[in-house]
Amino acid sequence: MANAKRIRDKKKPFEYSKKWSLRSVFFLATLFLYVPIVVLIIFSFNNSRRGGNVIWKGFTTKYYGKAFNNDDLMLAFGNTLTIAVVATVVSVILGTCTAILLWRFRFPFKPLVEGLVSLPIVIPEICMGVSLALFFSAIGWLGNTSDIWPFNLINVTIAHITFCFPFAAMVIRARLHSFNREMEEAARDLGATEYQVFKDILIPHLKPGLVAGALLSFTLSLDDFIVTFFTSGPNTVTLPVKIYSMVRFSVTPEINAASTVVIALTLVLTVFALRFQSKDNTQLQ
Amino acid sequence: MTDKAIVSIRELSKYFGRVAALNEVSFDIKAGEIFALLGPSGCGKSTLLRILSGFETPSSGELLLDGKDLIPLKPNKRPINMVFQSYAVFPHMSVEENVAYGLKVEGIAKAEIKTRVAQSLKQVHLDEFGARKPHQLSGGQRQRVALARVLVKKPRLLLLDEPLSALDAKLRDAMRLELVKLQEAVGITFVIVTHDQSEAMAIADRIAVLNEGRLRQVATPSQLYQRPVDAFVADFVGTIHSFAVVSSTQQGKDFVVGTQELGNITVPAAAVAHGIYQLDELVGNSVVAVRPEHINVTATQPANSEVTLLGKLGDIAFQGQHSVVEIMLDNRPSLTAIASNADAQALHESGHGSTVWAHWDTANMLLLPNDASDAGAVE
Repeated sequence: MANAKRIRDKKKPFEYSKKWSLRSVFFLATLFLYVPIVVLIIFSFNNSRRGGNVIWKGFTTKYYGKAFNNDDLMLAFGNTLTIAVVATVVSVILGTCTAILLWRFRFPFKPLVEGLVSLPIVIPEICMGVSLALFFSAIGWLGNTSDIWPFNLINVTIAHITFCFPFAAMVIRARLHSFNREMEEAARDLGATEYQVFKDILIPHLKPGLVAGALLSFTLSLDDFIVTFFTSGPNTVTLPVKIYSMVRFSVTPEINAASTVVIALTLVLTVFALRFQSKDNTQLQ
Repeated sequence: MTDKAIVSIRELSKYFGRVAALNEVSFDIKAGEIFALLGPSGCGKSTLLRILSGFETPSSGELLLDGKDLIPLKPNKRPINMVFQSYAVFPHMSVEENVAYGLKVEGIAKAEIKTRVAQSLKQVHLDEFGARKPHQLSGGQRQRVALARVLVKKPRLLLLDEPLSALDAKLRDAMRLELVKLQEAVGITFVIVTHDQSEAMAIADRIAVLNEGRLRQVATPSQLYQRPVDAFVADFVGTIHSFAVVSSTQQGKDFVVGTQELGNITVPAAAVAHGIYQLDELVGNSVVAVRPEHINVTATQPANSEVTLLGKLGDIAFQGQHSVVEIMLDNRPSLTAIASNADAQALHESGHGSTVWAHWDTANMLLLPNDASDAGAVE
């Protein structure tokens, strides 16, 4: 009996969750990652004039109302969403084309092209911001492309596409690797033209990759600060840039409220995308 | 079956770089037959199939379907359809959508598609499964989807790439019979690519044996087995034991060839492969060979057999209807013989390693060149 008990107490090879050292790492990681976000959300409902004030003064939703009535904040929010949507659509299209080009064709200097495509992923964002700002000012687009919304957002949008599309291309290319070329040949054999193969066979296969690429592009664009800061003008401020300038002035619960809305939006999108993808994966088994 | 050629292949070659995947291959496929392309991997059979389907362009030669040049046509414009080795069933489409796809891209009216799809699914016994997705089907059912998908197109020629290789043994035997029945029912000419000789023998009306890009023989399964053109074909379509020819003379119509193990053997003219070398070229370029079912094994010296070999009893493998007996020889690889289970049991009692005689009649031997396609050439 005593022997049997000792065996049961012994840790099994993969029972890492029973090790105290690993448990504390997990606990600390969770703490530093999520507690600030939870605090931010809780204090967006704090009935206090100062957002930086961590003293609970009662529940209120008035700062959400205030945030929604703040025209500057709402303009920034609208800009952010517009830029994110346009950058996502363009990035996914460009990314798909790039991925197919690199997967399907052989051409001179292919390794060089592959390197150039993934360069924006590794270049420090500050360098990209500075270089894009210099580029736009050189062609006279910085701050005064157009006075009519949303055409004034064009340079920020282009800047966002430059760093979003390599990520989309990477995700879509990874998905392409699992494509069975016999599917394409089978469709051709059954009478499909090249375009019909692309539309009926390749795109449905790529769908999970397209969704993942779109989600990645959207979130990257949504919360980008550095590149936007360098390329936006006074009328083309995005939410991250606006919040930054508001924080420098004073921290109010309005900022907490605006941030909470952004967090909620990203969460909803992520859940939606994950559910869509898991449904798709069962189909592709 | 008529004797009319549906496909004519004339001196077809395909080079990948400087390597010949196909080397001047010529033969006809007759309308309504099941034709098998048989050979070891890398023999060029898949390349030939891809040329037929249009995914490869031959380097030279002619390819005619019903007398018309097929080479300029793209794969989607050829009245030829293929069942792929992986089946390539579209995972995001239901069974019905898969089968309908080939008609949809052709622009056929919806009502007609519906009736033809239903008819095709019935032919492969999948009429209950139309609404299912491929991931809800077994491997065998997915293959039926791939079959229905090409049958619905009513092609002139149906290509099957290793159709039975992915199925388990029992299903494979059932599917062999079913493919033959299906072919009889639809009357479409089937071309099957396989590396499995028993599969080709069981299904095909005629077989083309390929090796290293060259055509070795086109014949019916029984011709191929009984009258192979050379030692490669003889060995590829079934076990055969061969003995190198070291001397040769002619006696009337018969050949007398000398071998190290068996001494002089008189091979009747009928057993000499067609297109064999001149008599003086036989030495070093040919073999005399015998199949296991013609070898008798006894524990006592045979009274009147034409060829006798003394050996030691090796392993005995029980195969169901019969047993395979191994005879170990001193100076060459062991022989195998097919024996009745009763005879095998009697031999078993005399013990492993005991002295046995392997004997057979010369009428059952074949005189074969090593390689008929370069007969006359010195190795």
